[in-house]
Amino acid sequence: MTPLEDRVRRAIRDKAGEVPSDAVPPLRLPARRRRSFSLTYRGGGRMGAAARWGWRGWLAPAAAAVLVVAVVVGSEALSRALYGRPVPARAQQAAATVRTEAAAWVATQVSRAAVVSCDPVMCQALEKHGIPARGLHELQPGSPAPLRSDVIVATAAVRAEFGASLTSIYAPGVIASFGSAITRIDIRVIAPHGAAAYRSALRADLAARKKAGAELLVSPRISASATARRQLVAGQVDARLLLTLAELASQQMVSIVAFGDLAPGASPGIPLRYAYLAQASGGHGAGPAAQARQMSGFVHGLRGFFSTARIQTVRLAGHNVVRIEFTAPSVLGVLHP
Amino acid sequence: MDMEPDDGGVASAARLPGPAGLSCGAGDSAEAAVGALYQASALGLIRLAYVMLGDRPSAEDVVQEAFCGLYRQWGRLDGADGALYYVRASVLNGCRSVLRHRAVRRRGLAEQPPAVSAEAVVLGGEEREEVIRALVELPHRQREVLMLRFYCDLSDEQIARVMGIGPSTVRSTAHRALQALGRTLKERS
Repeated sequence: MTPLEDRVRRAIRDKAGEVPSDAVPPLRLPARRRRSFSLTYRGGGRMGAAARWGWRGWLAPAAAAVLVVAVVVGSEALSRALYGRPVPARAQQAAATVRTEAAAWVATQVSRAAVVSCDPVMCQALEKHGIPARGLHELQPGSPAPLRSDVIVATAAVRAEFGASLTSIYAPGVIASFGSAITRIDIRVIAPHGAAAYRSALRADLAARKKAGAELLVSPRISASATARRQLVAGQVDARLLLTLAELASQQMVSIVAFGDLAPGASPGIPLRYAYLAQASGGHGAGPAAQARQMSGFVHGLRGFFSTARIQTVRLAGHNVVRIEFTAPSVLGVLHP
Repeated sequence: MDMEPDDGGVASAARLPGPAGLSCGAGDSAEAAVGALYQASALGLIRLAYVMLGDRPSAEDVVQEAFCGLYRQWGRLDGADGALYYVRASVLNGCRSVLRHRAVRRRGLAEQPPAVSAEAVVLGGEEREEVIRALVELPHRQREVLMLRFYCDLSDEQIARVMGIGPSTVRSTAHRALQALGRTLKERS
Protein backbone atom coordinates (compact mmCIF):
# COMPACT_ATOMS: atom_id res chain seq x y z
CA MET A 1 0.00 0.00 0.00
CA THR A 2 1.42 3.42 -0.99
CA PRO A 3 1.65 6.25 1.59
CA LEU A 4 -1.23 8.03 -0.18
CA GLU A 5 -3.42 4.92 -0.04
CA ASP A 6 -2.56 4.52 3.61
CA ARG A 7 -3.45 8.15 4.28
CA VAL A 8 -6.78 7.84 2.46
CA ARG A 9 -7.62 4.60 4.24
CA ARG A 10 -6.81 6.09 7.64
CA ALA A 11 -8.79 9.27 6.97
CA ILE A 12 -11.84 7.31 5.82
CA ARG A 13 -11.76 4.99 8.82
CA ASP A 14 -11.19 7.83 11.30
CA LYS A 15 -14.06 9.76 9.82
CA ALA A 16 -16.30 6.68 9.85
CA GLY A 17 -15.39 6.17 13.52
CA GLU A 18 -17.24 9.41 14.33
CA VAL A 19 -20.43 7.35 14.11
CA PRO A 20 -20.57 5.56 17.46
CA SER A 21 -21.33 1.85 17.42
CA ASP A 22 -24.61 2.35 19.30
CA ALA A 23 -25.88 4.78 16.67
CA VAL A 24 -27.87 2.29 14.63
CA PRO A 25 -31.57 3.19 14.71
CA PRO A 26 -34.11 0.36 14.72
CA LEU A 27 -35.06 -0.97 11.29
CA ARG A 28 -38.53 0.01 10.15
CA LEU A 29 -39.73 -2.11 7.28
CA PRO A 30 -42.71 -1.23 5.11
CA ALA A 31 -45.76 -3.48 4.99
CA ARG A 32 -45.03 -6.33 2.60
CA ARG A 33 -46.80 -6.01 -0.75
CA ARG A 34 -49.49 -8.61 -1.26
CA ARG A 35 -50.87 -9.92 -4.56
CA SER A 36 -53.06 -7.13 -5.86
CA PHE A 37 -56.50 -7.40 -7.39
CA SER A 38 -56.94 -5.98 -10.83
CA LEU A 39 -59.48 -3.17 -10.77
CA THR A 40 -59.43 -2.61 -14.49
CA TYR A 41 -62.33 -3.48 -16.75
CA ARG A 42 -61.37 -6.64 -18.52
CA GLY A 43 -63.13 -6.11 -21.83
CA GLY A 44 -66.33 -7.48 -23.33
CA GLY A 45 -64.96 -10.95 -23.95
CA ARG A 46 -64.62 -11.58 -20.26
CA MET A 47 -67.97 -10.26 -19.19
CA GLY A 48 -69.47 -13.68 -19.57
CA ALA A 49 -66.83 -15.14 -17.30
CA ALA A 50 -67.47 -12.44 -14.69
CA ALA A 51 -71.15 -13.19 -14.82
CA ARG A 52 -70.46 -16.90 -14.31
CA TRP A 53 -68.49 -16.05 -11.18
CA GLY A 54 -71.55 -14.22 -9.78
CA TRP A 55 -70.75 -12.54 -6.43
CA ARG A 56 -67.05 -12.95 -7.05
CA GLY A 57 -67.33 -10.21 -9.64
CA TRP A 58 -67.68 -7.83 -6.69
CA LEU A 59 -64.52 -9.08 -5.04
CA ALA A 60 -62.15 -6.52 -6.53
CA PRO A 61 -64.28 -3.41 -5.77
CA ALA A 62 -64.98 -4.75 -2.27
CA ALA A 63 -61.30 -5.33 -1.65
CA ALA A 64 -60.56 -1.80 -2.87
CA ALA A 65 -63.12 -0.39 -0.45
CA VAL A 66 -61.63 -2.39 2.44
CA LEU A 67 -58.20 -1.10 1.45
CA VAL A 68 -59.37 2.52 1.52
CA VAL A 69 -60.94 2.03 4.96
CA ALA A 70 -57.75 0.36 6.19
CA VAL A 71 -55.62 3.27 4.95
CA VAL A 72 -57.89 5.82 6.65
CA VAL A 73 -57.95 3.87 9.93
CA GLY A 74 -54.20 3.28 9.69
CA SER A 75 -53.47 6.98 9.19
CA GLU A 76 -55.66 7.79 12.15
CA ALA A 77 -53.80 5.24 14.27
CA LEU A 78 -50.46 6.63 13.15
CA SER A 79 -51.57 10.13 13.96
CA ARG A 80 -52.67 8.97 17.44
CA ALA A 81 -49.35 7.23 17.88
CA LEU A 82 -47.50 10.43 17.09
CA TYR A 83 -49.62 12.41 19.53
CA GLY A 84 -48.96 10.40 22.59
CA ARG A 85 -49.91 6.73 22.42
CA PRO A 86 -47.61 4.85 24.78
CA VAL A 87 -44.46 3.73 22.96
CA PRO A 88 -41.96 1.10 24.11
CA ALA A 89 -39.86 2.17 27.10
CA ARG A 90 -36.56 2.03 25.20
CA ALA A 91 -37.83 4.21 22.36
CA GLN A 92 -39.35 6.57 24.91
CA GLN A 93 -36.03 6.86 26.68
CA ALA A 94 -34.19 7.53 23.41
CA ALA A 95 -36.75 10.19 22.50
CA ALA A 96 -36.41 11.80 25.94
CA THR A 97 -32.61 11.92 25.62
CA VAL A 98 -32.81 13.61 22.22
CA ARG A 99 -35.47 16.00 23.53
CA THR A 100 -33.25 17.02 26.45
CA GLU A 101 -30.31 17.51 24.11
CA ALA A 102 -32.37 19.68 21.76
CA ALA A 103 -33.90 21.68 24.64
CA ALA A 104 -30.46 22.35 26.12
CA TRP A 105 -29.22 23.54 22.75
CA VAL A 106 -32.17 25.87 22.24
CA ALA A 107 -31.80 27.22 25.79
CA THR A 108 -28.15 28.13 25.26
CA GLN A 109 -28.02 28.97 21.55
CA VAL A 110 -31.31 30.57 20.58
CA SER A 111 -31.90 34.22 21.33
CA ARG A 112 -34.16 34.91 24.30
CA ALA A 113 -35.89 37.50 22.15
CA ALA A 114 -36.98 34.80 19.71
CA VAL A 115 -40.39 33.11 19.94
CA VAL A 116 -40.07 29.33 19.72
CA SER A 117 -42.90 27.11 18.43
CA CYS A 118 -43.02 23.61 19.87
CA ASP A 119 -45.37 20.73 20.64
CA PRO A 120 -46.63 20.53 24.25
CA VAL A 121 -44.05 17.95 25.39
CA MET A 122 -41.17 19.86 23.84
CA CYS A 123 -42.43 23.16 25.27
CA GLN A 124 -42.37 21.58 28.73
CA ALA A 125 -38.78 20.46 28.20
CA LEU A 126 -37.81 23.95 27.04
CA GLU A 127 -39.41 25.52 30.10
CA LYS A 128 -37.47 23.10 32.30
CA HIS A 129 -34.30 24.40 30.64
CA GLY A 130 -35.14 27.94 31.66
CA ILE A 131 -36.93 29.33 28.63
CA PRO A 132 -39.79 31.51 29.88
CA ALA A 133 -43.31 30.53 28.78
CA ARG A 134 -43.80 33.91 27.11
CA GLY A 135 -41.09 32.96 24.62
CA LEU A 136 -42.87 29.74 23.67
CA HIS A 137 -45.73 29.16 21.27
CA GLU A 138 -47.37 25.83 22.01
CA LEU A 139 -48.65 24.00 18.92
CA GLN A 140 -51.77 21.85 19.05
CA PRO A 141 -53.22 19.53 16.41
CA GLY A 142 -54.89 21.81 13.86
CA SER A 143 -52.82 24.87 14.84
CA PRO A 144 -52.32 27.36 12.01
CA ALA A 145 -48.85 27.75 10.52
CA PRO A 146 -46.59 29.28 13.21
CA LEU A 147 -45.47 32.19 11.03
CA ARG A 148 -45.34 34.62 13.94
CA SER A 149 -42.61 32.61 15.63
CA ASP A 150 -38.91 32.89 14.86
CA VAL A 151 -37.93 29.26 15.38
CA ILE A 152 -39.81 25.97 15.34
CA VAL A 153 -38.70 22.80 17.09
CA ALA A 154 -39.71 20.14 14.57
CA THR A 155 -40.34 16.91 16.44
CA ALA A 156 -42.04 13.91 14.81
CA ALA A 157 -45.41 15.23 16.00
CA VAL A 158 -44.80 18.65 14.45
CA ARG A 159 -43.58 17.08 11.20
CA ALA A 160 -46.71 14.94 11.08
CA GLU A 161 -48.91 17.97 11.71
CA PHE A 162 -47.46 20.23 9.01
CA GLY A 163 -46.18 17.60 6.57
CA ALA A 164 -43.98 18.60 3.67
CA SER A 165 -45.10 22.24 3.88
CA LEU A 166 -42.98 22.62 7.00
CA THR A 167 -39.77 22.29 4.99
CA SER A 168 -40.99 23.57 1.66
CA ILE A 169 -42.91 26.64 2.83
CA TYR A 170 -42.77 27.59 6.51
CA ALA A 171 -39.31 26.69 7.74
CA PRO A 172 -36.81 25.61 5.05
CA GLY A 173 -33.61 26.20 7.04
CA VAL A 174 -32.32 23.81 9.72
CA ILE A 175 -30.09 25.53 12.28
CA ALA A 176 -29.44 22.35 14.30
CA SER A 177 -30.57 18.74 14.28
CA PHE A 178 -30.53 16.02 16.94
CA GLY A 179 -31.29 12.30 16.97
CA SER A 180 -32.36 10.29 13.97
CA ALA A 181 -35.35 8.68 12.30
CA ILE A 182 -38.53 9.02 14.41
CA THR A 183 -36.66 10.61 17.35
CA ARG A 184 -35.07 13.27 15.12
CA ILE A 185 -35.63 16.85 16.24
CA ASP A 186 -34.78 19.68 13.86
CA ILE A 187 -34.49 23.24 15.04
CA ARG A 188 -35.75 25.25 12.08
CA VAL A 189 -35.85 28.93 11.39
CA ILE A 190 -39.27 30.24 10.36
CA ALA A 191 -39.53 31.98 7.00
CA PRO A 192 -42.43 34.40 7.59
CA HIS A 193 -42.61 35.40 3.92
CA GLY A 194 -42.22 31.87 2.55
CA ALA A 195 -39.35 29.67 1.46
CA ALA A 196 -38.63 31.52 -1.79
CA ALA A 197 -38.25 34.86 -0.01
CA TYR A 198 -36.10 33.21 2.67
CA ARG A 199 -33.77 31.63 0.11
CA SER A 200 -33.52 34.87 -1.79
CA ALA A 201 -32.61 36.73 1.44
CA LEU A 202 -30.08 34.01 2.29
CA ARG A 203 -28.47 34.35 -1.17
CA ALA A 204 -28.22 38.12 -0.85
CA ASP A 205 -26.82 37.79 2.66
CA LEU A 206 -24.29 35.23 1.47
CA ALA A 207 -23.05 37.54 -1.29
CA ALA A 208 -22.68 40.38 1.22
CA ARG A 209 -20.89 38.09 3.72
CA LYS A 210 -18.43 36.94 1.08
CA LYS A 211 -17.61 40.52 0.15
CA ALA A 212 -17.27 41.63 3.77
CA GLY A 213 -15.20 38.54 4.65
CA ALA A 214 -12.75 39.23 1.81
CA GLU A 215 -12.50 42.87 2.89
CA LEU A 216 -11.68 41.86 6.47
CA LEU A 217 -8.77 39.76 5.24
CA VAL A 218 -7.23 42.78 3.55
CA SER A 219 -6.93 44.59 6.89
CA PRO A 220 -3.35 44.60 8.22
CA ARG A 221 -4.76 44.41 11.77
CA ILE A 222 -6.43 41.06 11.18
CA SER A 223 -4.65 37.74 10.82
CA ALA A 224 -6.46 34.45 10.23
CA SER A 225 -5.65 30.75 10.04
CA ALA A 226 -6.05 28.94 6.71
CA THR A 227 -9.37 27.49 7.88
CA ALA A 228 -10.66 30.87 9.01
CA ARG A 229 -9.59 32.51 5.74
CA ARG A 230 -11.45 29.85 3.77
CA GLN A 231 -14.57 30.35 5.90
CA LEU A 232 -14.43 34.14 5.48
CA VAL A 233 -13.95 34.03 1.72
CA ALA A 234 -16.73 31.45 1.34
CA GLY A 235 -19.15 33.73 3.18
CA GLN A 236 -19.75 31.20 5.95
CA VAL A 237 -19.43 33.71 8.78
CA ASP A 238 -22.38 35.44 10.43
CA ALA A 239 -22.71 39.10 9.44
CA ARG A 240 -22.86 40.24 13.09
CA LEU A 241 -19.49 38.60 13.71
CA LEU A 242 -17.96 40.22 10.65
CA LEU A 243 -19.03 43.67 11.84
CA THR A 244 -17.82 42.94 15.37
CA LEU A 245 -14.41 41.82 14.12
CA ALA A 246 -14.13 44.96 11.98
CA GLU A 247 -14.91 47.11 15.02
CA LEU A 248 -12.41 45.22 17.17
CA ALA A 249 -9.73 45.57 14.50
CA SER A 250 -10.13 49.31 14.66
CA GLN A 251 -8.98 49.07 18.29
CA GLN A 252 -6.43 46.24 18.37
CA MET A 253 -4.79 43.40 16.46
CA VAL A 254 -7.19 40.50 15.91
CA SER A 255 -5.96 36.95 15.31
CA ILE A 256 -8.73 34.56 14.18
CA VAL A 257 -8.18 30.87 14.86
CA ALA A 258 -11.44 29.63 13.34
CA PHE A 259 -15.18 30.06 13.14
CA GLY A 260 -17.79 27.64 14.39
CA ASP A 261 -21.27 27.36 15.79
CA LEU A 262 -21.64 24.13 17.78
CA ALA A 263 -24.76 23.36 15.75
CA PRO A 264 -24.97 19.74 14.63
CA GLY A 265 -26.77 19.08 11.35
CA ALA A 266 -27.24 22.69 10.22
CA SER A 267 -28.25 23.29 6.58
CA PRO A 268 -25.65 24.54 4.12
CA GLY A 269 -25.79 28.33 4.06
CA ILE A 270 -26.58 28.77 7.76
CA PRO A 271 -23.83 31.16 8.95
CA LEU A 272 -21.28 30.28 11.63
CA ARG A 273 -21.95 32.33 14.75
CA TYR A 274 -18.76 31.77 16.78
CA ALA A 275 -15.32 33.27 16.31
CA TYR A 276 -12.30 31.93 18.18
CA LEU A 277 -9.57 34.51 18.63
CA ALA A 278 -6.02 33.93 19.78
CA GLN A 279 -3.94 36.51 21.57
CA ALA A 280 -2.61 38.59 18.69
CA SER A 281 1.06 39.38 18.49
CA GLY A 282 1.50 43.11 18.86
CA GLY A 283 -1.50 43.27 21.16
CA HIS A 284 -1.60 44.72 24.63
CA GLY A 285 0.23 41.76 26.15
CA ALA A 286 -2.83 40.75 28.19
CA GLY A 287 -3.86 37.08 28.53
CA PRO A 288 -7.03 35.72 26.88
CA ALA A 289 -9.16 36.31 30.00
CA ALA A 290 -8.16 39.96 30.25
CA GLN A 291 -8.59 40.31 26.49
CA ALA A 292 -12.08 38.83 26.73
CA ARG A 293 -13.04 41.37 29.43
CA GLN A 294 -11.58 44.21 27.47
CA MET A 295 -13.28 43.16 24.21
CA SER A 296 -16.56 42.60 26.00
CA GLY A 297 -16.51 46.10 27.43
CA PHE A 298 -15.73 47.62 24.05
CA VAL A 299 -18.21 45.57 22.00
CA HIS A 300 -21.12 46.00 24.42
CA GLY A 301 -20.43 49.71 24.44
CA LEU A 302 -21.26 49.80 20.73
CA ARG A 303 -24.90 49.01 21.56
CA GLY A 304 -27.43 47.74 18.99
CA PHE A 305 -26.99 44.04 18.15
CA PHE A 306 -23.39 44.27 19.39
CA SER A 307 -24.68 44.23 22.95
CA THR A 308 -26.02 40.69 22.42
CA ALA A 309 -22.52 39.30 21.79
CA ARG A 310 -21.21 36.85 24.39
CA ILE A 311 -17.49 37.04 24.86
CA GLN A 312 -15.62 34.57 27.04
CA THR A 313 -12.49 32.49 27.36
CA VAL A 314 -12.74 28.84 26.32
CA ARG A 315 -10.35 25.96 25.67
CA LEU A 316 -9.97 24.95 22.03
CA ALA A 317 -7.59 22.11 21.13
CA GLY A 318 -5.66 22.63 24.38
CA HIS A 319 -5.32 26.41 24.10
CA ASN A 320 -7.09 29.24 25.86
CA VAL A 321 -8.83 31.36 23.27
CA VAL A 322 -11.40 34.12 23.31
CA ARG A 323 -14.78 33.12 21.88
CA ILE A 324 -17.18 35.71 20.52
CA GLU A 325 -20.63 34.32 19.88
CA PHE A 326 -24.00 35.49 18.75
CA THR A 327 -27.25 33.66 19.33
CA ALA A 328 -29.31 31.86 16.69
CA PRO A 329 -31.02 32.41 14.38
CA SER A 330 -28.66 34.58 12.35
CA VAL A 331 -30.13 37.87 11.25
CA LEU A 332 -30.19 38.20 7.48
CA GLY A 333 -29.67 41.55 5.81
CA VAL A 334 -27.45 43.12 8.48
CA LEU A 335 -24.80 44.01 5.90
CA HIS A 336 -27.26 45.42 3.35
CA PRO A 337 -30.16 46.89 5.31
CA MET B 1 1.00 0.40 7.91
CA ASP B 2 -1.32 -2.34 9.04
CA MET B 3 -4.72 -1.26 10.17
CA GLU B 4 -7.44 -3.18 11.90
CA PRO B 5 -10.52 -3.40 9.75
CA ASP B 6 -13.12 -1.05 11.19
CA ASP B 7 -16.00 -1.30 8.81
CA GLY B 8 -18.68 -2.01 11.39
CA GLY B 9 -19.44 -5.30 9.75
CA VAL B 10 -19.80 -4.32 6.10
CA ALA B 11 -16.98 -6.59 5.01
CA SER B 12 -17.51 -9.27 7.61
CA ALA B 13 -21.22 -9.56 6.84
CA ALA B 14 -20.21 -10.62 3.33
CA ARG B 15 -18.06 -13.41 4.75
CA LEU B 16 -20.72 -14.72 7.10
CA PRO B 17 -22.10 -18.07 6.05
CA GLY B 18 -25.72 -17.13 5.29
CA PRO B 19 -27.75 -17.79 8.43
CA ALA B 20 -30.86 -19.87 7.99
CA GLY B 21 -33.03 -16.79 7.94
CA LEU B 22 -30.93 -15.25 5.24
CA SER B 23 -31.98 -17.64 2.51
CA CYS B 24 -33.88 -15.58 -0.01
CA GLY B 25 -37.44 -16.39 -0.92
CA ALA B 26 -38.12 -17.43 2.64
CA GLY B 27 -41.61 -15.94 2.49
CA ASP B 28 -42.67 -14.77 5.96
CA SER B 29 -39.14 -15.09 7.31
CA ALA B 30 -38.04 -12.26 4.99
CA GLU B 31 -38.55 -9.73 7.76
CA ALA B 32 -36.37 -11.72 10.16
CA ALA B 33 -33.74 -12.28 7.49
CA VAL B 34 -33.57 -8.61 6.49
CA GLY B 35 -33.49 -7.75 10.19
CA ALA B 36 -30.54 -10.11 10.72
CA LEU B 37 -28.66 -8.62 7.81
CA TYR B 38 -29.44 -5.15 9.16
CA GLN B 39 -28.03 -6.11 12.56
CA ALA B 40 -24.87 -7.44 10.95
CA SER B 41 -24.17 -4.65 8.49
CA ALA B 42 -26.16 -1.48 9.29
CA LEU B 43 -23.46 0.20 11.37
CA GLY B 44 -20.83 -0.27 8.66
CA LEU B 45 -23.20 0.96 5.97
CA ILE B 46 -24.23 4.00 8.02
CA ARG B 47 -20.55 4.81 8.49
CA LEU B 48 -19.93 4.35 4.78
CA ALA B 49 -22.79 6.72 3.95
CA TYR B 50 -21.68 9.13 6.67
CA VAL B 51 -18.21 9.51 5.16
CA MET B 52 -19.78 10.17 1.77
CA LEU B 53 -22.52 12.53 2.94
CA GLY B 54 -20.99 14.15 6.01
CA ASP B 55 -24.09 13.99 8.19
CA ARG B 56 -25.64 11.23 10.21
CA PRO B 57 -29.38 11.79 9.68
CA SER B 58 -28.96 11.56 5.88
CA ALA B 59 -26.69 8.53 6.23
CA GLU B 60 -29.23 6.74 8.43
CA ASP B 61 -32.06 7.62 6.04
CA VAL B 62 -30.13 6.26 3.06
CA VAL B 63 -29.40 2.96 4.83
CA GLN B 64 -32.97 2.65 6.06
CA GLU B 65 -34.24 3.18 2.51
CA ALA B 66 -31.79 0.61 1.18
CA PHE B 67 -33.07 -2.04 3.58
CA CYS B 68 -36.70 -1.19 2.79
CA GLY B 69 -35.82 -1.69 -0.89
CA LEU B 70 -34.11 -4.98 -0.04
CA TYR B 71 -37.21 -6.15 1.80
CA ARG B 72 -39.40 -5.35 -1.20
CA GLN B 73 -37.05 -7.17 -3.57
CA TRP B 74 -36.36 -10.08 -1.24
CA GLY B 75 -37.90 -12.80 -3.39
CA ARG B 76 -35.82 -11.84 -6.44
CA LEU B 77 -32.35 -12.02 -4.89
CA ASP B 78 -29.99 -14.95 -4.98
CA GLY B 79 -29.00 -15.71 -1.39
CA ALA B 80 -27.50 -13.70 1.46
CA ASP B 81 -24.53 -12.76 -0.67
CA GLY B 82 -26.80 -11.26 -3.31
CA ALA B 83 -28.71 -9.38 -0.61
CA LEU B 84 -25.57 -7.75 0.71
CA TYR B 85 -24.45 -6.72 -2.77
CA TYR B 86 -27.91 -5.34 -3.40
CA VAL B 87 -27.98 -3.31 -0.20
CA ARG B 88 -24.46 -1.94 -0.72
CA ALA B 89 -25.36 -0.84 -4.23
CA SER B 90 -28.56 0.75 -2.89
CA VAL B 91 -26.61 2.70 -0.28
CA LEU B 92 -24.21 4.00 -2.93
CA ASN B 93 -27.12 4.98 -5.19
CA GLY B 94 -28.88 6.63 -2.27
CA CYS B 95 -25.78 8.65 -1.40
CA ARG B 96 -25.41 9.68 -5.04
CA SER B 97 -29.00 10.84 -5.11
CA VAL B 98 -28.61 12.86 -1.88
CA LEU B 99 -25.40 14.48 -3.17
CA ARG B 100 -27.05 15.34 -6.48
CA HIS B 101 -29.99 16.89 -4.67
CA ARG B 102 -27.61 18.91 -2.47
CA ALA B 103 -25.64 20.09 -5.49
CA VAL B 104 -28.84 21.45 -7.03
CA ARG B 105 -29.69 23.23 -3.79
CA ARG B 106 -26.17 24.62 -3.50
CA ARG B 107 -26.40 26.01 -7.03
CA GLY B 108 -29.48 27.84 -5.81
CA LEU B 109 -27.38 29.26 -2.99
CA ALA B 110 -24.76 30.66 -5.36
CA GLU B 111 -22.37 27.69 -5.24
CA GLN B 112 -21.82 27.89 -1.51
CA PRO B 113 -19.81 24.98 -0.14
CA PRO B 114 -21.19 23.18 2.93
CA ALA B 115 -20.20 24.92 6.15
CA VAL B 116 -17.47 23.15 8.11
CA SER B 117 -17.43 24.20 11.74
CA ALA B 118 -14.25 25.14 13.46
CA GLU B 119 -14.84 22.59 16.17
CA ALA B 120 -15.05 19.79 13.60
CA VAL B 121 -11.88 20.89 11.88
CA VAL B 122 -9.83 21.41 15.03
CA LEU B 123 -11.05 18.37 16.91
CA GLY B 124 -11.23 16.09 13.88
CA GLY B 125 -7.75 16.85 12.63
CA GLU B 126 -7.02 19.21 9.79
CA GLU B 127 -5.22 16.57 7.73
CA ARG B 128 -8.03 14.05 7.87
CA GLU B 129 -10.60 16.67 6.96
CA GLU B 130 -8.46 17.71 3.98
CA VAL B 131 -8.42 14.12 2.70
CA ILE B 132 -12.17 13.72 3.22
CA ARG B 133 -12.86 17.05 1.53
CA ALA B 134 -10.75 16.00 -1.45
CA LEU B 135 -12.48 12.61 -1.53
CA VAL B 136 -15.93 14.21 -1.53
CA GLU B 137 -14.93 16.40 -4.47
CA LEU B 138 -14.08 13.38 -6.65
CA PRO B 139 -16.61 12.22 -9.28
CA HIS B 140 -19.18 9.79 -7.89
CA ARG B 141 -17.71 6.64 -9.41
CA GLN B 142 -14.15 7.38 -8.30
CA ARG B 143 -15.27 8.18 -4.77
CA GLU B 144 -17.34 5.01 -4.52
CA VAL B 145 -14.50 2.80 -5.76
CA LEU B 146 -12.16 4.24 -3.12
CA MET B 147 -14.75 3.86 -0.38
CA LEU B 148 -15.43 0.22 -1.26
CA ARG B 149 -11.73 -0.55 -1.52
CA PHE B 150 -10.43 1.28 1.56
CA TYR B 151 -13.42 1.13 3.87
CA CYS B 152 -15.16 -2.13 2.96
CA ASP B 153 -11.93 -3.91 1.97
CA LEU B 154 -13.58 -5.36 -1.11
CA SER B 155 -11.58 -6.91 -3.93
CA ASP B 156 -11.75 -5.38 -7.41
CA GLU B 157 -14.08 -8.19 -8.48
CA GLN B 158 -16.43 -7.56 -5.55
CA ILE B 159 -16.39 -3.80 -6.21
CA ALA B 160 -17.18 -4.52 -9.84
CA ARG B 161 -20.20 -6.59 -8.80
CA VAL B 162 -21.53 -3.91 -6.42
CA MET B 163 -21.11 -1.14 -8.97
CA GLY B 164 -22.12 -3.10 -12.04
CA ILE B 165 -18.90 -2.40 -13.93
CA GLY B 166 -15.93 -4.54 -15.03
CA PRO B 167 -12.94 -5.31 -12.76
CA SER B 168 -10.58 -3.56 -15.17
CA THR B 169 -12.76 -0.45 -15.01
CA VAL B 170 -12.53 -0.64 -11.20
CA ARG B 171 -8.73 -0.73 -11.37
CA SER B 172 -8.46 2.16 -13.81
CA THR B 173 -11.03 4.21 -11.88
CA ALA B 174 -9.18 3.65 -8.60
CA HIS B 175 -5.91 4.62 -10.27
CA ARG B 176 -7.40 7.84 -11.64
CA ALA B 177 -9.08 8.60 -8.32
CA LEU B 178 -5.83 8.26 -6.38
CA GLN B 179 -4.00 10.40 -8.91
CA ALA B 180 -6.63 13.13 -8.64
CA LEU B 181 -6.66 12.89 -4.85
CA GLY B 182 -2.86 13.13 -4.69
CA ARG B 183 -2.89 16.19 -6.95
CA THR B 184 -5.58 17.94 -4.89
CA LEU B 185 -3.84 17.25 -1.59
CA LYS B 186 -0.52 18.45 -2.97
CA GLU B 187 -2.07 21.67 -4.23
CA ARG B 188 -3.63 22.37 -0.85
CA SER B 189 -0.64 21.55 1.29
